[in-house]
Amino acid sequence: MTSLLVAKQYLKKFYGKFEVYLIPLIKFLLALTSLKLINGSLGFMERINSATVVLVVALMCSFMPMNFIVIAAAAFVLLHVYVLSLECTVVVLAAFLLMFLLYFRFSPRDTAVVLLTPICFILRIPYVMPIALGLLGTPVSAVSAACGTVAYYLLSYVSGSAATLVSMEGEEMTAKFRFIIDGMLNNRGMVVTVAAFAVTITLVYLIRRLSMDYSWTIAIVAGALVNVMVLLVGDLMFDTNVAIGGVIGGTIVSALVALVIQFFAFHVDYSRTEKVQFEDDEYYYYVKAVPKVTVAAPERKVKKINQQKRTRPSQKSGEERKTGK
Amino acid sequence: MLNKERVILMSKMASYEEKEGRKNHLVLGYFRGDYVWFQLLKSVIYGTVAFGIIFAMYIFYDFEIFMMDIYKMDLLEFGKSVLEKYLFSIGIYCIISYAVYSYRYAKVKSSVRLYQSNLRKLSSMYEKT
Repeated sequence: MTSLLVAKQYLKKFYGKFEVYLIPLIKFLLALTSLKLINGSLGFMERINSATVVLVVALMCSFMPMNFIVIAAAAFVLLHVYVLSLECTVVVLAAFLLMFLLYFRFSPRDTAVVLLTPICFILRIPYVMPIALGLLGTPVSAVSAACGTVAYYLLSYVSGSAATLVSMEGEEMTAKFRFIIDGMLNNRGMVVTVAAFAVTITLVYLIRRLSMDYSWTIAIVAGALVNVMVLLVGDLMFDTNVAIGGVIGGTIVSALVALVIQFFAFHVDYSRTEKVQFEDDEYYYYVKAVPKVTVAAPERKVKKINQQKRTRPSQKSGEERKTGK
Repeated sequence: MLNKERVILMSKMASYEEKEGRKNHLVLGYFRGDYVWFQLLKSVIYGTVAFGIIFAMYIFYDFEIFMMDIYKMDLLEFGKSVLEKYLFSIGIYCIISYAVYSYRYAKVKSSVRLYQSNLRKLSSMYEKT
């Protein structure tokens, strides 16, 4: 454990020292990953599928604010969907606009969640999002997670029914439009997932705010269990056809990732908890102080062994004369 | 000589000015009522656009049926029901906006108060030396 703490200190120091370069690098990697994943799952427009375009846009994103990545990703999605069908573009654009107009006006910082949630879905660890948001955010983050989930399901529905949409080429515009809207609104799996995420985020938040010992760990475990339970109950009630093995496996991996987050964000030593009580003119204070676990990173000391200075014989005799030897 | 306490305080204040300070300064440029009403006005505009999008999608979903029924239906009654739904949804959105922006203004005010107390602390530190 000590070596892990030392590694954490090193990482902190490293981040502090190279923050100026690391933030653009992280933005670049995030943009590159999300654009690559969008191209991989949709990929209808060949022009923007090329690595050069992706690299150029990702490089642009690295020097722009975080929200620019979301805009670039949304533009990529719309361009791909436009090649597939105009009706799809209208529906996807409307969904994105509604999200931005109604919700992200209140919390522009949460837009990254809309990007990260679909990425986690594609990486098959979507359940890390509700647990992490419960640990680091507030229950309001459930709306951001819901937006991300809707975006993922919408895109997966579009990519999954691409062949059907192409075969509907001859049909009327409204028929295609109805097909997409129906597919989106009747997606019970999406509704159950949104509900599971909302319940998990709220529960994790409530438990980790409690003043009991190991509240964060308990919150992670309880969140993971509740998430699995809601998804399975949803499957029983609405027949969503979730893969039980996938849900349990994904939740276990997500809980492990959440433990890593806890290690970096809230690592305390409960054995040294102090409870103090004092008062002033207006209040009585019952304070519980839990010390953070910190280890000073050992610093390398480089000892320089210089060559012995050579003095000239004439200087030496002069010095001797001064001292009277 | 460097005063460690002063440097820490100044770093905190500089970080605040860099991040939240600018936004907070803009918010506190308004009186509370003006700020909240301005944001409510924005919410009405955004809400109207969002309602327009949803309404357009609703009409387009059953466009053929709508076009067939348009001659039979009582347009005044239809318009009235749409207006009722619009006012209801905008009303709810405005209530949420009011709560959010009132809370945000109060939060900004308290953080600026903290910044000002830090400023006073800093100036007293300079006076001592």
